[in-house]
Amino acid sequence: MFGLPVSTTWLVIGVPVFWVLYTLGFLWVTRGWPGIKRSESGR
Amino acid sequence: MNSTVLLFLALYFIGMLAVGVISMRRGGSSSMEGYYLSGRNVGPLVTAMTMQSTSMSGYMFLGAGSLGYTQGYYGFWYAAGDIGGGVVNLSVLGRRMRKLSQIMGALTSIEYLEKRYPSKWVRLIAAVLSVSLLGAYVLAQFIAGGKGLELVTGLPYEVALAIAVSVILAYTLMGGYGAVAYTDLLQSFVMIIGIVWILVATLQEVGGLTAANHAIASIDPTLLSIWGKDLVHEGQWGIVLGALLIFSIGYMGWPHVVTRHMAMRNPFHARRAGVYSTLWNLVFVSAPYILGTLAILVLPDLDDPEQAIFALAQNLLPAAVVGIVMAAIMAAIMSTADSILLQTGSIAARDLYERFVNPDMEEKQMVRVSQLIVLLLGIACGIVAAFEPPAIFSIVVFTTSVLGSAFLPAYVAAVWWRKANTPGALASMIVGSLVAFFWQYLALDGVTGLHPMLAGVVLSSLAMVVASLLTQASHPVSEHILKAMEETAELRPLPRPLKAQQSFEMAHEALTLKLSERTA
Repeated sequence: MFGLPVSTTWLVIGVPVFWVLYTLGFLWVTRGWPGIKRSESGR
Repeated sequence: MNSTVLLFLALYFIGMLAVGVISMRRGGSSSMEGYYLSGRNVGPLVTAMTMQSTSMSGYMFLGAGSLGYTQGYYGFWYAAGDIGGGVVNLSVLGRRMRKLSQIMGALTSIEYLEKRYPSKWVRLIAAVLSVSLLGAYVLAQFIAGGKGLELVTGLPYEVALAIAVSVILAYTLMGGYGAVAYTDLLQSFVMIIGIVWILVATLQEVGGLTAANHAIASIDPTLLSIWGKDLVHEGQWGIVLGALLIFSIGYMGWPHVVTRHMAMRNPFHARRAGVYSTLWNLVFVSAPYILGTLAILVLPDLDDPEQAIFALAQNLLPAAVVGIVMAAIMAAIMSTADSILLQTGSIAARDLYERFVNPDMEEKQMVRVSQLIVLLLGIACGIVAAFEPPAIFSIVVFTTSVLGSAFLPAYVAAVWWRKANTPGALASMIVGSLVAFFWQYLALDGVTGLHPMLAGVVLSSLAMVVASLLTQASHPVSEHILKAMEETAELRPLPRPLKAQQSFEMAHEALTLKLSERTA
């Protein structure tokens, strides 16, 4: 991809993809967190 | 000295000062919580951007570009962990640390450690380590700032240094954490605009990424490899995986970065802040390494590889845009320098002076003392920076590894492990800092193939676990701390009794009195 060797492609594309998936995973795991308005009084 | 470049720089500096004034007017220096944590009122975008711009210094424009220029795509190993550093920090520590720090009434990340692991030694060791290492880091950032401004304006180094330091000191003094965080927000925008502009211009110049990579391959195919020029780093898995791991989790051990959690308006902001961090990092962290590599084609005869990105801007962009890029480089340096300066001054004021020398100060007095210490520290560092002591960079090399190794287990265990106690924290701080220091000093990474911070974090984590488990009977975690930790697990507003800082302090004082009565 992009004229890069396979291992370099894994590094340059694969790692960012991993972090995107991690972030999405974080969003999914925390989907039960209350909305900000409901919790605003909780300072 | 290009007048357009100067104009953009002047506008940038004026913008930073304006934010300082606004922050001051909004109460940034009228109370301790206001000065240290902007009243715990920072939203998710500002949280993410101050965290990222604090973490990413001028190194991204200088060192990262240089690594890409000299070693090709090997440099990306160092981007790999960095991209995730923010979201890891926010997902693991964010919400819970924010909540626990409020329950305990902690205003600095060092005070937070003492309140979770009650012992004056925790505070003293942590504060001394932080002030000395972060102080050196401030010095290094000031030198970078002076050199950066000297480069772009042609002003003598001492004058450029004085201007950069004065601007940073002015808005930091005026508005405290609020000024630092909001200038960081603006600086993060300038940084990303600058880097994207150079990236687009460079890709156009080289005819796109694929064509560029084919051209690089015809010069030297090893530059496309993950092992660097001439495959010199081949097989060094310990180093590259260590770098990947360390730069993804290491930020959780930096006192000036984890403070960002404490200042969030609402613990649940960690969620959105995590998304903003990842989005910003995907662009800002990757780009400099790729730009450095592409610079091989555009500027094949560069004397100083650290100039790669700057030289790309000068060669490919119109003067007005070069001004923005110069502002971006200054922004990267200043957004790190201001956070570290404020944190170092705050720790010196709150965790050393107030804690051990003069604990009975009133609130307003404490704010003024904090401002004075930040001012004195800034001036002292500015004066020393004028002499550019070469030793400074050797100290800075230790800073990230030693701090990260010393504090990472303590911060993570503070919210996640109920058995983590004071002896465990002390053991992990001492072991972590010593291991990281000597691993670096004795160049053991060359012998073992393991990064100093990797060794430091592994051994300090072990020390935390072993020492805590061995001393559970003699040093149990106090009931009120356990209650506070339970509360951080809850997804609800703080109950009234836990909202006030006084209840935590009184609970701890009451416990100390009870214990001393029993032994009397």
